[in-house]
Amino acid sequence: MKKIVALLLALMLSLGALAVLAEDYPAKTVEATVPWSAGGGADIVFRALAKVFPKYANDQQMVIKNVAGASGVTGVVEFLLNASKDGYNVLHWSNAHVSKTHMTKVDYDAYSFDMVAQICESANYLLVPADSKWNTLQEFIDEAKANPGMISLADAGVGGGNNIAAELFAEAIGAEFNLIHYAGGADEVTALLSGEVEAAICNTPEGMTNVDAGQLKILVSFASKPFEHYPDVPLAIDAGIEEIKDLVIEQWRGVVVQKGTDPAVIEKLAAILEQCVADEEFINTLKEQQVVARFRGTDEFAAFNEAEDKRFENMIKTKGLGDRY
Amino acid sequence: MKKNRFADLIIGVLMVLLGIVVLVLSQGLAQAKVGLGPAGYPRAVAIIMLVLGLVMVISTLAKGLSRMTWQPDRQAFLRVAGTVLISFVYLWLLNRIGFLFLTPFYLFALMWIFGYKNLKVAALASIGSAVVIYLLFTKAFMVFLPEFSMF
Amino acid sequence: MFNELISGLQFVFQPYAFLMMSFGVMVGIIIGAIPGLSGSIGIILLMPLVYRMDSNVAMVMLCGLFCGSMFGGSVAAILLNTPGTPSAAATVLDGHPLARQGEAGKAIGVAAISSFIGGVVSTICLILIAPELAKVALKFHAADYFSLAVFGLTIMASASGKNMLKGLMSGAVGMLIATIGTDPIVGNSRFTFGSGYLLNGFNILPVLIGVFAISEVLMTVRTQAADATIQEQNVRNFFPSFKEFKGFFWAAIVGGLIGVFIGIVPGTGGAITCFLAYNVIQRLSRHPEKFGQGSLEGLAAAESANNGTTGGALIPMLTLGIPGDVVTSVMLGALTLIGVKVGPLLFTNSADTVYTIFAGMLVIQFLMLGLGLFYARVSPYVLRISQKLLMPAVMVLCVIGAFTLSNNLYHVYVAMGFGVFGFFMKKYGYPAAPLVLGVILGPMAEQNLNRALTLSRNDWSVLVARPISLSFLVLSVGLIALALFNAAKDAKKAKAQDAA
Repeated sequence: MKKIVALLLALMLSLGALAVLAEDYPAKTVEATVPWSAGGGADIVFRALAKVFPKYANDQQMVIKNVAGASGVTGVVEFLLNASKDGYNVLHWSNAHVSKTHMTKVDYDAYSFDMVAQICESANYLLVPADSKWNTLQEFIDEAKANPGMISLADAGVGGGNNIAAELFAEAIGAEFNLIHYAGGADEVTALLSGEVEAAICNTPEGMTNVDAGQLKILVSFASKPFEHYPDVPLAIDAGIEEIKDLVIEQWRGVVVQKGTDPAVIEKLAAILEQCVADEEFINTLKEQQVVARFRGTDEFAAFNEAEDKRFENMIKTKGLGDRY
Repeated sequence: MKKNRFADLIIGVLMVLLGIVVLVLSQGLAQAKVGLGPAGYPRAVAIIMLVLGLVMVISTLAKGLSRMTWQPDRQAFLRVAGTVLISFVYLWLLNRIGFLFLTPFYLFALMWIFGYKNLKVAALASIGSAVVIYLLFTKAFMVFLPEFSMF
Repeated sequence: MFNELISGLQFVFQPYAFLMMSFGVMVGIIIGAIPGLSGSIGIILLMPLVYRMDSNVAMVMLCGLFCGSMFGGSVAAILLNTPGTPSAAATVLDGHPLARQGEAGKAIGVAAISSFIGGVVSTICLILIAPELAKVALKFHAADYFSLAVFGLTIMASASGKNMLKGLMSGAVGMLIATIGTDPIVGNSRFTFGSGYLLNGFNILPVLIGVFAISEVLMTVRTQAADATIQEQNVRNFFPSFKEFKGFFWAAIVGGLIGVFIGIVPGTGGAITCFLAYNVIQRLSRHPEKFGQGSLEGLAAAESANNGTTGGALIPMLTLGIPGDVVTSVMLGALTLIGVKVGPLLFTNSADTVYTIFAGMLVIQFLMLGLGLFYARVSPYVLRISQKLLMPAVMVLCVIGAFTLSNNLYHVYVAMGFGVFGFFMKKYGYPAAPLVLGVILGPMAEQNLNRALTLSRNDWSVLVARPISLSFLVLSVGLIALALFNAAKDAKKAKAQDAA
């Protein structure tokens, strides 16, 4: 009985004037749906976010709900069907979700939700064994162009971030690789170490402990800024190679809410997230993973989302990946 | 296996059919240049199923169709069907009524189907277990359970 | 090395560390015992605690949870015929028959002792030869994984007990089930009929819950008049006699070793290992016919193998930064969150952490033995509760277990569906174990064959060119030939008996 009454009261509060709601936001726990399983990259970032969230959100907690499955689809669909529009349910959104919409027919697309803000980005990079025959990026590219389809290049799964990055790279330099799909970054690293593949496209922090130990080396990073930890690694954009001088491929993550959420609430949430992203603790936790805390506000994020969406659509259509097109 | 030879026959036939269905369905899957395509593995499994199904059918028929009987136990069948039906209803309502309120009814119904005679004890046990499980999982284990969401 | 080990031991024996470690083991056993909850969920549950503690203490606590959950799964397997975790799937084969015979206490006791032996064996391997063993793991390429999977699948022919044909059919269905969803090669949806949910495919956990647990509930409701309570349990006798101990000791050692070696190979988990160990021990045993009816050797093999994988899975995690199985990958995530950098440099940079883990693992085995024997004494009382009250509760736990997988009801429906399917399987004598093997090993075989062929550019000879791959394939062919030979021999014997 008490529970029903409490629920009714909470509902009355939420049904109250939206303007009032925005000012009090958040007045209770915010639930973040992460469509990936616990312990993975997405989960780690969002848990780091949840840790600092109360500081800037009236001491309200952010609670993580993992809804893993079908490379992120299950969680997104579940959110689409069940999440409330009051800003108390938020969703993890990343490039992987966007690219997935072009791989198979799913019930949503990159524009099904209202963008709130981007919170981080992480670089894609090219990993090879430390003793591999290639010492510079140019050597690698030359051999790739001279022998189409011969160099084995690992990625973390069809349509995933690393796979798209590999395809974009191949397209930029006009080469063809023998793409080998693995079931995740850790498996890619294993394959590199065991000598099964010759190269791999990875995302932070995959393989970084092995780079530190001298087992692997990074030939090039596709980030927009150099690695803090590896200042000597060249960036694609200033490696001095014509074909890749504009090539920036990064994985990014952000927060979105249901379409139709009150803009005032979105604005408030974005402001909170901006403070979280600037928080020392958050930045440092992400640094451990070589992930860069990066904030893009609501409009900027929406524009970026659209740009990435078009980029992936183009890539997937051209290469004939997946079965949507 | 003397009993249920009829069932074995049916299952063998079903297996053969399933193999054929999979082979047909996998025609629509793309081919790959290198390595197996998406269709390679399902086709292999389908062929295995076909072979196994045929072996089953043949060996069952070889043992003779004579001693096949089918005496379903009506009571047992109703109990099992009832359990399954109630379970699906429970799941269907779970997201609306929530775990805490719905589970006691479900438990009570199951106990009744199982034939537990003392209804008072059953009712108490149902409510008690549901509450204990709910508290244990949501408060101690911090796991999400379906909540009441009718309004 | 010895000195560091001593200081590691000193660390874990400090009150706080010891307490947290014991807590981890205890929570692990309880979580493992609930069908549907597994070690991964346990780790997530302890996250709030993990945040607040010293990272070394956190590590040993998580290791305690990992080992505890492996044992905990067997408690449910023995008492309720439903594995609490996927790695306890082989334990039901002999564990539950023992419970039916009234020896639940002894079964759990043997399980505890075997888990202890397996854990100690794997910890010793971990301490002495971790880096070398890691190198072995790296020798596995895609072709080798494929042949390993084939080998595992041929175990089906033998794990099927009397009726090989039915076992194989069961396995084939399992392999087919695993194809539903997104294919791993080009990302097409396979057999999903346009449903967003079926893109998921069928996860092993709801399949396991359905085929083992829910089907058991349905079978019980069918024969409701019969045993209201399982035969009076022999609770006082939870410790095996010395003679019995001598009988299964060798099985536990071998099982543990198998567990370590397979556990090292990244991507293999407790489930595959325990079936493999079970089968190997069956072949080597002097009483193979007892397997499936309550053989202590079979139980010991399955149990020590799944604990053997704990040390095994930790090896690649600690030496290469690559998780050996699902639970270790969640552990890796948890450790990253608190700033522990696991990887090849761990041995050089943080030797003290490494030795703390070694020392912790040793002590954990003893803790687990103690708690395990305690459970052996106490938990058979659970069986005193009328099945009519117990089974409904098990059903609800199954629902929760499947639900927590991804916080939505899809997996529960899947579990329920497989429960009905599993019921029919049990009714008509189709063994469930091969189905589980098919679901786990099918994808492993497909993905790796595909990778091997892509790497070799459609050159199938790579499968026999690599020594590891060749060995497994030869073993597989050998196993099949042996099984067929035995089946023919049995058929001839049966015909002779009929004629006589």
